[in-house]
Parts: sequence; C-alpha cells; structure tokens
Amino acid sequence: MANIDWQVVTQVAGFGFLVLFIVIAILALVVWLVSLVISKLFKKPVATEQSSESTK
Amino acid sequence: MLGLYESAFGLITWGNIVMLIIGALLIYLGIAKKIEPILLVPIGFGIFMVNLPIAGIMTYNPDGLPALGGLKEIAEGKIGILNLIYYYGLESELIPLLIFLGVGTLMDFSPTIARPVSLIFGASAQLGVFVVFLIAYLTGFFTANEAACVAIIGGSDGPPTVYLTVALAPILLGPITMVAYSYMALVPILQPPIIRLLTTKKERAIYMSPRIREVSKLELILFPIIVFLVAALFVPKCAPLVGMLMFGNLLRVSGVTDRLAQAGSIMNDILLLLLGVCVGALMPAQVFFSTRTLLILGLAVVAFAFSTAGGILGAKVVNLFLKEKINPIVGAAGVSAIPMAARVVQREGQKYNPRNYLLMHALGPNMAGAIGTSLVAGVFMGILGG
Repeated sequence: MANIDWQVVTQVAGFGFLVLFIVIAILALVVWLVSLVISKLFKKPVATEQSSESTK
Repeated sequence: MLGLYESAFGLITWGNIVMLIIGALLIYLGIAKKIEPILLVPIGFGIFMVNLPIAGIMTYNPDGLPALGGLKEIAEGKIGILNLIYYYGLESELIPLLIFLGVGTLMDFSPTIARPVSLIFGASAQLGVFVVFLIAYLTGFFTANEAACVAIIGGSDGPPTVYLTVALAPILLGPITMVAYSYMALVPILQPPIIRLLTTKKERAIYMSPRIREVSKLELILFPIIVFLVAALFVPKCAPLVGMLMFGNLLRVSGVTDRLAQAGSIMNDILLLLLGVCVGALMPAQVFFSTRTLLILGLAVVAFAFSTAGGILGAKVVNLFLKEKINPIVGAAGVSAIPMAARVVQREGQKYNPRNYLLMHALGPNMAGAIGTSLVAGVFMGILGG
C-alpha cells in the first residue's frame, strides 16, 4: 500500500466518474433539446391531415 | 533433429503446450459453439502461431513486448510478419480506431435519440470500470495505468479497451483483449443473476410500450455531430475514439454515403481479422502465464457484475423522477456488449411479463454504453497521461 498514489485514486475514481456523468448529462440534455426544437420547427400539420382524411 | 536443420520439438515447453490447448479451445468455441467466431478463431490461431518455438512469426524483446521494426528487420530475420502488423496496426492505434469507424457504420442510435435519458444508463453502467480500477490498483498488483486497462474491460467494448491498453499498458494487451472479447460472449450467463438480485419481480414486470418515438432523419444526422463536439470539447483525449465512431455513423445516416458506409463495414471485417491474429500472437507462454493474467480473469467478472449493477441502479434512480416508470432492467444493457446485453434484457423482461417487449428500449442504453466507454478511455488517458 506504500506505493499507492492517493491523488491518482481520487482523480480517477472521484473526478473521473464525475466528469463522465456531467458530460453524459450534458449530452442527454443537448440531444433532448435539439429533438424538441426539431419537433417544434418541423411539426407535421396533424390537424390538416385529419381534416383532409375526414373529407375523403 | 536430423542433424541438418533445427526442429521445434526439443524447444517446446509445458507452457507452450498449455497455450496450444487454450488456442484450440478458443477455435473450438468459435467454430463449434459459434461464440464470437470472428474474433476467437483468429485469436486461437494467433496463439498457435506464437507458441511454436523458433517459428519466428512474432518475436519478442526480453521485456515481453513484441520486437519492433520494418521490412529491413523482416529480411534480416529479426522480426516476423506479425511484428509488422503489430507495429503498424496496433502500436500506431490504427486498427482499433478504424474498427470503431466500421462499428459506427453498423450502429443505429434511434433508440438513444428517442429516449435521451438512456445515455445516463450508459454512464452509470461504467461503475464496474471505476470499482475494478480501485481494486486492481489498491491491491498493489497493477500500476495505475495497468489498473485502468484491466478495469475498462467492464465497459464491454473492444476498440476502446484495445486503444487504451496500447496507450497505457501494451504488455497486457494480449490477456486483456482475450478476456474482454471472450467475456463479452458470457454476458447472457453473467447478467441474469445480477438482474434478479437487484430488482424485485414487480420491477422486472413493469410494462413498457414496445414502440419508441419515431426519430427524424435530421435528428439522426445531427446526433453524431453533437456527440462528437460535446465529447471532444469536454474530454479531448476521447476525440479519436468518439470521432471515428461518430464519423462512421454519419456515413450510415447521411443517406448519400451508403457506399462509404458499406466500405467501412467491409474494412471492419478485414481489421478484425488482423486484430484477432495479432492479439493471439501477443500470448506466448512466457508472457501469458503470470499471476496477473489470472487476476485479470477474475477482475473482469467483477467489472461486468458492477457495471450491470450500475446500469440497473442508474435506471432506478432515474425512475424516482419519472411519472411513467422505466423497467429498471433496461439499465443493465448500458454495459454495451451490443446487442447481447439488450437481448438479455428482452429475455428477462418477457420472463416476468410476457406482454413486455423491451428490446428497443434496451438498445438505447446499449448504444449509449459505447459512448460511455469511449469517454472513460478518454478520461483515463487524460488523467494518467496516455
């Protein structure tokens, strides 16, 4: 145990795991936001389709 | 033997014989049991190639690493043909990176995009990597760099494992790669007991609609670009891995580069062939037989177990904030091992609720696991200096 570098342990197991979670959380948030914006911008005119179907 | 030339019979050791048996076993598992045959057959034959004395297909330095050199050294008989493949393919990191490009051309991220929260499970399922890093390093059997390479087996993703090991601990490349790829095939055996241990019957039976949200083409195109930019900005050392994976995926989803995507997947097969035989050749008896190899075999099981547990616990935590609950066993697919882990989740889910069809939900974390493991490789390299 004498040769253990505790700074490395803290950095890898503490900071490393935290960084992973933060990056993934940011990624999830960005992907969700982009999907939301795309769905708003390119929303299919559902009501029109329904009305056109009902006229058939 | 006949006085005219040297035969290998007199030089073969017991270690070589055991390695030949291991090589034969891998070939048997690949051919007869169809367990990862694309990798296990070349690895098995690679072990044959390097465990016949004086064959000279791969030569080693006294420190246990393959001798390096080019065509001149081959002509002089100082190195073998596999040394050349090792030098230009693995030592340069070219093969794992190009394999990841090929993998990207085969991946469909729709389930991940449809439910971005599944990315979280891809992160929580890296728990085993960090736990095993601590065990491997704190027990004193491995240096920090070696411990990181042993630990990343828990991510169940081949290319990041090879990439990191070549950078941080090339001497362990043979046993780590063999263990990583052969244990991936054991996912259907390793995961169900952990799933049952950490979830109640009621949780395992939670119903999820088999349909996922339809993802638009624009989302599919933007996803690899977004992932690369975010990952490379926050963890620059993972840029080569994530970049190749996402570049391959962009070729797949763009709709105008189908030929390039097909070329990527064909290239993948060629590179897997070279990787397999080269990895097998990294296991001569004198390097393979050590306490550390046995430790790697044991620690890999611990890594898989904790990663599966991490994925499930991640899903349980996320459930605390969701109105419509997710079946927590979906989180177990975050260990990557595409698509085996997702299939395990599908099977376990149907066992407890025959109406459940969890495959599409499990593929989300499954794909996210590949991104998670690449990020972990980048984090390790950033901290440990690969």
